[in-house]
Amino acid sequence: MSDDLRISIEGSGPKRTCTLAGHLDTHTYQRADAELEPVLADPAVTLLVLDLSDLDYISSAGLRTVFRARKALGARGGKVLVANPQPQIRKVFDLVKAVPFSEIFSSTAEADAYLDAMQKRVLSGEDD
Amino acid sequence: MAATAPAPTARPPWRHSLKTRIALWFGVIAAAMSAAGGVALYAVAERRALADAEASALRELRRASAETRALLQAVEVSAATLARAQRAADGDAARTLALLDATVLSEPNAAGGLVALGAASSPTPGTPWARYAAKQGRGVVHSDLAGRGIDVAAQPWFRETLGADRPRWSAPYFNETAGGRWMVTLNQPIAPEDAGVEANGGGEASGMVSLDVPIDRFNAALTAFRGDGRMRAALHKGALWIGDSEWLSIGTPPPAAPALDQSRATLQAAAAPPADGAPLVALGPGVRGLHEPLGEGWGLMVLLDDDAVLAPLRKTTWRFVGATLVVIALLALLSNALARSVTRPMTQLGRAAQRLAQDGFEMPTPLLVRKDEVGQLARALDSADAALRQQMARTQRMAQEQQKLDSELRLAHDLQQSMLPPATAVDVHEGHLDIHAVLKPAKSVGGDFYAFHPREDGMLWFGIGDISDKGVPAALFMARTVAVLEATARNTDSPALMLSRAAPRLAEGNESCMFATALCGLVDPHTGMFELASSGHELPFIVRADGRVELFEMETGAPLGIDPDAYGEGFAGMLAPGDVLFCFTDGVTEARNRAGELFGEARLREALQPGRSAEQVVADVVAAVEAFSAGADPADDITVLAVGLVAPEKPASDPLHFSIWPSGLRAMNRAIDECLGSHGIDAEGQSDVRLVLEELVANAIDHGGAAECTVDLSFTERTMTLKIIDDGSAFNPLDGPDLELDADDLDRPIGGLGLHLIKTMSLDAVYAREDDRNRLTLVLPRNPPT
Repeated sequence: MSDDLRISIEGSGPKRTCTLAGHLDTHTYQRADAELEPVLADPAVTLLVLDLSDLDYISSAGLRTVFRARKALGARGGKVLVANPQPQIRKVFDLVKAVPFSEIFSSTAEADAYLDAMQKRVLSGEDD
Repeated sequence: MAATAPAPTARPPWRHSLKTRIALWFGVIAAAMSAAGGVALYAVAERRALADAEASALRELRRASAETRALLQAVEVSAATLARAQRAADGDAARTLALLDATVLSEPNAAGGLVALGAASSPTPGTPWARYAAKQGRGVVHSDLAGRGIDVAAQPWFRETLGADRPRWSAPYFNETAGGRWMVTLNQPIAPEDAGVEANGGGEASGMVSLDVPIDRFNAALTAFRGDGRMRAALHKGALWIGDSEWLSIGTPPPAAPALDQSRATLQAAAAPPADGAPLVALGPGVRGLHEPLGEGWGLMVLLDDDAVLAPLRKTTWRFVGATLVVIALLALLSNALARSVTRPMTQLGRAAQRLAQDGFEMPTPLLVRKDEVGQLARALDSADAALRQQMARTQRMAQEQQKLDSELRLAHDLQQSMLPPATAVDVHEGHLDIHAVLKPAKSVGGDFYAFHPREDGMLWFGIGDISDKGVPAALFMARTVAVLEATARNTDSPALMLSRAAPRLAEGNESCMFATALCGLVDPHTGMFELASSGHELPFIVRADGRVELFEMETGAPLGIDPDAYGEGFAGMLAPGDVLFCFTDGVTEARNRAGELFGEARLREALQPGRSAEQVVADVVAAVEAFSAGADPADDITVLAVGLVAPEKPASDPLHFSIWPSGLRAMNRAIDECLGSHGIDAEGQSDVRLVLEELVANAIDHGGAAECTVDLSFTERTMTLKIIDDGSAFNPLDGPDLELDADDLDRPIGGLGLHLIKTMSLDAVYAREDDRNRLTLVLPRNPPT
């Protein structure tokens, strides 16, 4: 298990997927914040999916990063979804109620399906 | 049941017997009365006897005095007559002798007489003439004194008589002339012819006459006193005693008697002759007397001896006393016999009453027919017999019913006890859960309950509770409550749900409005984690292995049985190896001692000692409560239940030591990760440890200014123990406020999460500040190695 953080951000338009791997802790959260800064600053982005499949460890510092992202997107009606956290990560999320249960998914595919459904509803709503 | 027959009582000892008392009192009273009467009578009699004797003495004295005076006067008259006649004889010797003889013969008291004439008037002129006539037989014998050569004129008695002017009695003397007898002589001078009686001193007497009176003549006056032991009389002439009633005189005076002299001196010295009121003069103890002077040195004395006076009275009195004692003894015997006639039937009544238990009051017929009080009592007891028999039969019946009821209650108690599970243990790998409980009912059937059993999934379920009542109804409600709780316990993993599902079933049809408090719990033997839910029950304690006794604080719902919708929340906790979860009913804390004090929580905490098994903890508390309330009536059921997580036989591994110095936090974290991995701690456990350490160590360095920080790690099957020591400023991470967590609140504060995580994740946490260092011990759960 590496104690470094690997971060990559993909996607364009309103939806971005950020893959976090390794450790998100007091040593690495500043890098994660820096990487996410442009995404959060971009008003076009309304959806951020955090793919945590390979995130081995998160500390309270890392949780604050997640909170900041939720707050930034929430301010403009956006959302942060969490996909596929490992059990220990999921446990920490649960303990501090970091993210509503409904916004945690067991895989990115599940998150995508959720998003598709959301979009359809929005679209049909616009049709009405 | 049948009263045990009293041991046949022996007759009362004689000194307690009524009989003795009656006889004794009779005797004492009779003796007292006799004594009082006797003393009074004796006093009167004594006074009378003394007065009589005194009167008699006085009378005799007067009589004897009068007799003696008469004698003296008679002799004096005879002498005077002779003297006068002698003048008329005028010197004729024959006539003179005839006169003398006539006088001597006619005077019965005289033994002899004398005529002595001086030379002047002598028949033989020139020589004195003296003739003595002594009585002899019926006649007299003369003797011529002058003829015998006696010079009459020279005799002192002649000269003294002629010198006197009146007759004189001589002192008693022994008279040889008159036959060797004691005499008293009256000497009468012969007055000159021309001299009248009234002028005796007119001239010198020419001669004299004398008459001799033997003293025995005087003693005749004392005859009346002789033979009377009470009185003594004595006659004296001058200093000489002539007669004494105690001296038998044959012409001799009594011998010298100083005692008589003394008495006479005393009596004569006494004032004027006593008046009639108090006539006698006391002379000494028991002796009184009186002296009567008779003139010219003559005197008569009477002595009265009181002892002699009283002797016959005393003799009579002693006879009376003796006779009285005999009579009293006879009376006592008589009263004894009388008393026996009373006590015998009483003894018979007593014996009959003693047989009451076996035969009832079967009174002997002789007692029943008596017409006195004894008969009345016997008849009364006899008629009470039937009522008593009835009463005894009823008592026996009631006792049998009570016995039956008791045995049913005992049966109910046994049945109830049989519903309570025995102590058990749930073994898991190297350690196990150990559960033990005791219920001590206040009455034979109690209202407390407990239950536990291991479930199929390996969890241990337990419940403890208290019904609002006692006795058989409470026992029935208790049985129902236990059954319902056991049923609901099968279908859910949540103690809160068990209680909320049991609530409507127990409230249903509960007309008597009984209710039960209950505490339900599930314990995981693998991890020691447990969850509790309470329906108004006492909060349990956790006795930690290190000695802390913690009240497990939790909210409780409403008691079961009233509100069908009662719902409590579940609260989770953790038992580390060696910890004991202790549950109890309020009978423990509300047990009272004889002074009425409550056992209370403080004493309970004292009784809870670390390092004891569940069974020992239960025994400790029960013993403490029993010792406290010894002698007081148990007010309530006492139920205690303890669940202990037993430490594995194998001790935890030695702590592994890590230091932030010199290589820094990241290096330490890496080392710890490696160590955790090599000890089979899974990713979750590693993540927990890292999370906790990161928060604490980063805090210590960033905020506390710590330069040195060490971590010790040790593991058991189910736990990881971290000891973190840093030299930063004092900070207790366990003191922070609980966070209000809301996932949907995007504006919530993002600080404090680390400390919240530590508190939430650790099973047990202890902070101490020692040696200027923060020392924090955390116990984290771990999944057992697969």
